[in-house]
Amino acid sequence: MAVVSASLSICRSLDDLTPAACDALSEHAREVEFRRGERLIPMGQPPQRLLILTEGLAKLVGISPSGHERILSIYRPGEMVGPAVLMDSMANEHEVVAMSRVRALSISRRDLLIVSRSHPSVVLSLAREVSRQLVTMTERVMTATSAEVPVRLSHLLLEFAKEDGADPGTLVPLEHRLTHEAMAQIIGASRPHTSTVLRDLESVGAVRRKSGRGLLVRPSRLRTIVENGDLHAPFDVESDRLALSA
Amino acid sequence: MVTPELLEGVPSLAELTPPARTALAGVAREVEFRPGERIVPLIKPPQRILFILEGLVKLVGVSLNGVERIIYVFRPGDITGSRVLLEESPEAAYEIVAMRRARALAVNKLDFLRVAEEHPEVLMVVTREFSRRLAGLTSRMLAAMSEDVPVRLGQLLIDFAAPGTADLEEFVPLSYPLTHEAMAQIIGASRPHTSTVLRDLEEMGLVRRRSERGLLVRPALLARMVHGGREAVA
Repeated sequence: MAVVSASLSICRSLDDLTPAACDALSEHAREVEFRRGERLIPMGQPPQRLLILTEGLAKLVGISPSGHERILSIYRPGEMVGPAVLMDSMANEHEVVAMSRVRALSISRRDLLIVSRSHPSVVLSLAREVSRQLVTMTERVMTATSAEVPVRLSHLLLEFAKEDGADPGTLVPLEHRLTHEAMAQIIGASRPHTSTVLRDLESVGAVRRKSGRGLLVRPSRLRTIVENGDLHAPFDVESDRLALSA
Repeated sequence: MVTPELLEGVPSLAELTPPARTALAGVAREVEFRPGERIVPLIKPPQRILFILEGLVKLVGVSLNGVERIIYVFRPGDITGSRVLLEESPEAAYEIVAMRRARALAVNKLDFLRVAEEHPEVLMVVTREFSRRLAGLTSRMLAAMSEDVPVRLGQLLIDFAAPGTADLEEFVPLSYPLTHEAMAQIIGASRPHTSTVLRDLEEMGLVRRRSERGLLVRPALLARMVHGGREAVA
């Protein structure tokens, strides 16, 4: 059954589509669901459809040469999986797996081709999403190749901090809960080391590990650690003191 | 003046229809960069797309404490300037620099978007290249997470081995010479450690460091080491 075109509004890359293009896309979109652990895109096959996540998290997974599973990227609600489906027929080297129950809008490659012939703006939207993901991956590679584990973990926690306009010196929860194991797989460290580093981050006031709201993070301190590349980089003590006393 | 025939020499543009190629050639101009010249400076988003014709260009990340890492090396046929497609391009802590004399075709942002609107196939082929770079970076990310420098270096040497040699066990040259410093910056290791690992790889028979053709590598055996460890090539 086709979806209503308003449901496409969850995806920022489709913001510039005309109403007619939105209607055309939604006519061909279908709601799909995946159980935790189910493959959204298997390895070794060229992409056959575009998925727009509406609920849940999915991970792009690779196996390192030493046999460890590594999370290369995480897809969140509103993000596209497979935006290059029209442009690239290369087989996937990695797979995309549901981290939790996932709901998504699915549009087949064939239907995307049909829609894009009448609405070329769809192609620009997909291209923008590829660019966006390229920018993100470029930054992640830079962090992964130049930073120590505390900096990489701080970078990850900042990415997931649910700031919502809160004072950056206050503690906020993560947008989506991440286990220590998932964090370790994302930053390329062992789970025990990741847990140790979380404890170190707590000792400098950048996180609070045990609270009724799960892991809490303090974006201002995490930002200082990331920008200086150093867990022990000096903070703006006065603004932090004010935030801590709040 | 850029002719449509010149665009045929760019592999990703060879499949464009003649009208699309003519339209793109009409807005492109040839540019040259000296070694070390900043093509896209730090922070500032790019204002044009570049189709690399000759030379090597590096995407370099610079951290606040001055650590420089080469995130990607653009080779002839590659395309830079993906952020041109974004309406709001974020500031970036990386810059694009010519590693040696480079020649490229430049198309500024507004011209590119106008041609892409008239000829969506132009957008498709350019985005395909960006998608392939994304796939390459994703694999690089995976390699970066490996703590084993020989594995990361082995993967880099495989990536840079001459085209069409991936399955060969014999010694082949690199498609482009890389200094030990550049290799170190790409894999995220120190230059001395990288040189030491190259020596170790030579002792294992996987590379030959001094030859008339520069560094020589054995791609198939390197691949075995990368995926199976040293024991796989013992």
